[in-house]
Amino acid sequence: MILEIVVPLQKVVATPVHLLRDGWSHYLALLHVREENDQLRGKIAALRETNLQLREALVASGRLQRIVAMREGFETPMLPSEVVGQDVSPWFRSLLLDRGRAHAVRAGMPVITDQGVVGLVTATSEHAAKTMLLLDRQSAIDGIVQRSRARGIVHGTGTDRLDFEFVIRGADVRPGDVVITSGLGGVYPKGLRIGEVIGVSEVGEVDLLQTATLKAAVDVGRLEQVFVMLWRGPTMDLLYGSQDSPSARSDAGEREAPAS
Amino acid sequence: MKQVLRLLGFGAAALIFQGVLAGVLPPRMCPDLTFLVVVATGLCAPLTSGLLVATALGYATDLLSNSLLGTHALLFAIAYAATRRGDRKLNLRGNLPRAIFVAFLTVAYALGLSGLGWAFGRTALLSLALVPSLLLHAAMNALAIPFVSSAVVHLAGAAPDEEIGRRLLRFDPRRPGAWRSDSLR
Repeated sequence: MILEIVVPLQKVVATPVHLLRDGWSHYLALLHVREENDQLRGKIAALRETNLQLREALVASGRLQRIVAMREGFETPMLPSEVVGQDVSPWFRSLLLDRGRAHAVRAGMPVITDQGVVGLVTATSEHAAKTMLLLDRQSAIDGIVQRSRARGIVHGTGTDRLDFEFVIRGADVRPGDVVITSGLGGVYPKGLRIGEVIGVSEVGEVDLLQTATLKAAVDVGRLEQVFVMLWRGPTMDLLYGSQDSPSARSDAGEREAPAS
Repeated sequence: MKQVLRLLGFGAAALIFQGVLAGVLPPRMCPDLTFLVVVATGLCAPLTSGLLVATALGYATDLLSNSLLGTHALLFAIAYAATRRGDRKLNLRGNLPRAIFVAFLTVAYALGLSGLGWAFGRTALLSLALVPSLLLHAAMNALAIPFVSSAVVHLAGAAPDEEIGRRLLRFDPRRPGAWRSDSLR
């Protein structure tokens, strides 16, 4: 009820504030735009070169088709949603989205952007949803290092940094490594980008585990639009009840359709 | 009743504005406006209506935040009671005493949130890394309380500081070293 009232109001208040912020930031951006353009052109050329080499390598080894087939198997419908507000308490990290149960959004669904994981839907109303960010101290995601497959738990710290904990001593984790979701928690699908390693803790002689610090892949302070994955992992299904799951509903709909 | 509705409306507006502001500024750079409304209510509203406002605003905050349901409601009620008691014991008339009191109350509030989170969710909210943010946030709240409290006093229809028969001690420049009380003027 409160979500339903607050979200439209917050949307109205947010529009002029965002316009002001965008106007200011765009003006500032123009000051260095030429220099930045030159740098970006250089980067694009380098990335195109790398991309071409990687494609060549994949085609040569005959794996491209298999990867495409695997990707199709993983594809889930995504619902674009607008961010209408951040957590009203400074000690928690969550977002309010303008899509809810009316758009098939359910608690337990992952929220992402093209850059990586944003968080998880924790509550919904008819036209709004609350999303816990991966930066929140209550958030924990099972992750792996993309390069070395070292496994650990990515834990929110309440700041813009994440802790990559419970990594076995001696596992290969280096600054610059990308950490992705492992798919083992039953909450997020495998292969979503979580963040980049920016530091690894010193390991003492008696320590069995090591911890790394990550920079989140998504800049949550500047989020305006996100995608809700219309998919819920088995753990979330158990937690919230499978009756409420989108797959159960669509199955029921399919079964009922011929009768009607 | 009108007073309660006015305060609730103002608190709800503060809640919405805070959600928008948090998207523009870093979260701990934003003053906790709803919390400040509750504190200001403690300075001017009577016990029953003040507690009602504090609990309702806390519950609304719980619904819009990622906290456990009831956490803010409980802590807002405690903050309201603490402000009432503080006002009686410490005489919080004047911006400086209020600002100092709010800074301490902000720290206590964050510790309370952390304690409740640990007790019920096994997740402590605060860590050493967050201590500078906590101090910054306390300072922001202290800076904002004069504006919020004057708005709340106006809405609640309470008498401003100068009209309340409390003894405000002031330095009299005509008699160096002498102090006079406003109530004796």
